[in-house]
Amino acid sequence: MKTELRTITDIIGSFDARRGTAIIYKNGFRTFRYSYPQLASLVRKCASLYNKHGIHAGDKIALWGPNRPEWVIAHLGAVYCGAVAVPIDIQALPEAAAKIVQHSEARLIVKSASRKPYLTDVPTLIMDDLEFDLDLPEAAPRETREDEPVDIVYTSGTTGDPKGVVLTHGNIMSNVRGIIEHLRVDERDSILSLLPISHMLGKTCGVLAPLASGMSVVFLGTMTAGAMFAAFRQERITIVLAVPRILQGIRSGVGSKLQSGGIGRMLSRLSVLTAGAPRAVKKICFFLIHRPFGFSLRFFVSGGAAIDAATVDFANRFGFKILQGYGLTECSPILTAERESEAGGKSSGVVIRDVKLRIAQDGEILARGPNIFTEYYKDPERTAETFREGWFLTGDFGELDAGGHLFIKGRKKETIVTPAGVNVYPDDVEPVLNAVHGVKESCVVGIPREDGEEVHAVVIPSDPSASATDIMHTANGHLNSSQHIQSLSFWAGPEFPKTTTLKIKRGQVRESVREARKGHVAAAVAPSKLRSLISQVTRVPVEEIAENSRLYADLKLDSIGRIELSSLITQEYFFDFEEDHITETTTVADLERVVASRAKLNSYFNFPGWPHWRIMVVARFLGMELLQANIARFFVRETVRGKENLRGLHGPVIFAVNHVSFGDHAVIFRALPFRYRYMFASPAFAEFFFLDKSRPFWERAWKKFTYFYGAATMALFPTSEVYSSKRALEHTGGIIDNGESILIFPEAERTRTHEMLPFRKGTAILLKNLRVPVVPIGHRGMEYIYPRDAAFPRFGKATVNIGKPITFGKESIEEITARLETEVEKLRHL
Amino acid sequence: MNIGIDIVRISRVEEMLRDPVRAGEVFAPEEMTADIQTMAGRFAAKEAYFKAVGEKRDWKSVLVLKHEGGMPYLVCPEENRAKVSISHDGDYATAIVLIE
Repeated sequence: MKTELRTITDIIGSFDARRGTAIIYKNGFRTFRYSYPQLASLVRKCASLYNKHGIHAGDKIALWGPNRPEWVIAHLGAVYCGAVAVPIDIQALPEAAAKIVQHSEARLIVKSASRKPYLTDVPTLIMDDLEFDLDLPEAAPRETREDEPVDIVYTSGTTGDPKGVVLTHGNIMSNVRGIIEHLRVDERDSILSLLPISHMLGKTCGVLAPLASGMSVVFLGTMTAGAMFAAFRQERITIVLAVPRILQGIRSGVGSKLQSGGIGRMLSRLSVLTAGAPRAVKKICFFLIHRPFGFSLRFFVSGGAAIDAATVDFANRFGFKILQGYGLTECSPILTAERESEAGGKSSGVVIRDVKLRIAQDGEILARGPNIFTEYYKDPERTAETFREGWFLTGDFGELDAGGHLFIKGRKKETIVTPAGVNVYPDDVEPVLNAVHGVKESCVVGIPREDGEEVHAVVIPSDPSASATDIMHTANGHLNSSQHIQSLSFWAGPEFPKTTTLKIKRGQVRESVREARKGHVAAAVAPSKLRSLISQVTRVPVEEIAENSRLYADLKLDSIGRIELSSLITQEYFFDFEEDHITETTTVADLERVVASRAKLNSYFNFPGWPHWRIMVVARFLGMELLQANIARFFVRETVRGKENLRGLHGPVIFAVNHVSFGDHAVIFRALPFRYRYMFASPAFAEFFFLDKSRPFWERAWKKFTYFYGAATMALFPTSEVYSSKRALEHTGGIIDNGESILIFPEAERTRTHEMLPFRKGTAILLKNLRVPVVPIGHRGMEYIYPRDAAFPRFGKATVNIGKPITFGKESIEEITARLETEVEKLRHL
Repeated sequence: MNIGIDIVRISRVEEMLRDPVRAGEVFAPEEMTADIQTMAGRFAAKEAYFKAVGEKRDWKSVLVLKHEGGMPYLVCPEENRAKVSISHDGDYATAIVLIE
């Protein structure tokens, strides 16, 4: 099968015959699965959508969003109709994105909802809603040639001319075939793709090769440690593709666990003894460390930037494999990679199939092969400059050993690559620095640090009394967080060494700084990572941040600052830091403690999982069927209509029901078909279950009892908000993923009259987020039998009308609420 | 009746919005719109809401949306009793929330 795949269109064609899951998307509260045939169909419909928007073969479509299934659909849809994709990193600044769209002449942009304020003059499709736009026929296939362009990937900053790498089917497919063979992967594998798809490695290794081989690709909607470990628990992950920063974050997380507690320290000592042992032995000894990763994990692939040796060694110590490689966007991107059998070595691996490497006289790595690009878009000059006698000039220095292993020795280019895999271009940062008061001229270089490269600024001050910290902070205020200057020093002389064309010799400046670093500390260096983050957000110089400084009172942190700081801490330490960790009284020392111990918040209430265990069906049977339904039968003569509307409906749904009495649950229970009867949960006000401590003991005990009874028999979960908060979504999403439906009363309380109360808009929010069909149910009669103010029920008749399921798409919150109200009202009167 | 008010600098909200992760923490996709002034007003409205209810909750436990005519409304547990009004001038946006 693999050898027949010559174009990406062939990959799409191979989907129809596959039976497995292509994409698994865990967005933080729900898991969405797309089978291979489903994905193929969506891709073809997307091509139709593009045709509808006037896109023809050869047109460019920009893609600007995070890793999610819609990106893959949008991209493959473009391939299917012959358009060229122009990926833009979700973190890219709007100005950079605008430049890319302009240079590439993109006719359409598919962007994430969070990017709505930007690039508003370009014809747009919103990525989050893409599926709702695909109610179209599938587009017809077209002939695709191997030399047709597929992508234009931009690899330059905001200043200077954008450099668009044009890659063809042939380029990318040779990499796809090469990687599948090199890493020996097939449909039994499952890859967690944490590298952005907009990055060539994230695309080839993280999406195309996996889909070509038939395995499942897992995307996370939220890039946190919690989400990652949930993925390991819930899906059988065999490969993880990540940037060094994430692997470093995992390492420090594991490291901090090893230092706390006796078992941890014992394992640390054990690892010294097992240093030379085979991996299998290590896996057994360090079983406790391997467990959170699931036992199917084969290896990690590190990419985007060079990973530090310490992290690779740490992984080796405990029996994990981290594979390294080397490549550039211009090479689709992989040139070399380690084989699984050689994981954890010091090299960047050996060439993959069909790639040839040579080391030039000056030590530069030269490459050749079908994966090498043919042009920079609209830039024949630059293109010509990157080749010499048919060999591609990588701009990196390296050595090859006898076994063909590549060792990277340095970089000829000026780009700085951070551990997060972000390219920082000195040409972007220097103008910002030069505009700061007190700076005469600046030069930005990358200085190696234990975990990667650091963005270092060397400044010639115009004012001898200028403060290094002030300059650094002012400049950082105008830079994207991934470009931030991490340390700054003053240049000793009056001028930077320059070429005859007056370009700064950055290499020399860099060497000077490295030499000087060995001696003494630079003028402004971040002492503790956390303090430098705090300093970055509050604009208070690091020296003035003391242990007992209160974030709010002393450092003037405000609510926007708190959001920024939480976000930075989560990214930097790869741990689920929550804003609520920072309160009015939190000091710097408190924060350092929280971060060091990766403390979890003691949340006010944790939604219990036990009501949703399958065994609870027994409790539901006893409580609902035997007890409540029989009580209901005694008082209520029930007529049910509309059951046929549920025929053919499978999987969890949301039942939207009008609320009249405490007997509503029992009445609805009896009305539902068997397969839904025992599989639904229902929200109820928290006050229903909990009383504060001031009430007498027996009242509280009774409430506790009713809570347990409700949770056990009706899977009632307390929530004062069935809405859009993270916790509510996580809980309800979990219920849906568990296969259970949710019964909601959109009025949120029982009506006192014979009319419905207005429906809460919060229900509409829930529907939109959970993406399941809604079944409206209207009932009447209970207002006579057991109205809100009655102490005791009466005898009577009730009618329950079940409506047709509704699947909502892009409707607004108001439209959804109004539609639900209308439907339930109609059903009440049938 | 509870009341809360907040004022925010539109340029600071704009800076926050540039990072998609931060933007996504604070605003739900339904709230995202092309106009940064509106987004800043929504941010102020959320803060005002938290002051009115007396506690800081999840940013997305309250959504600030607009009726057809342009009048803002809140989606929150106190939906039926809460009212909001937003205004902007220059680099500032302000909002006031009343909960009966």
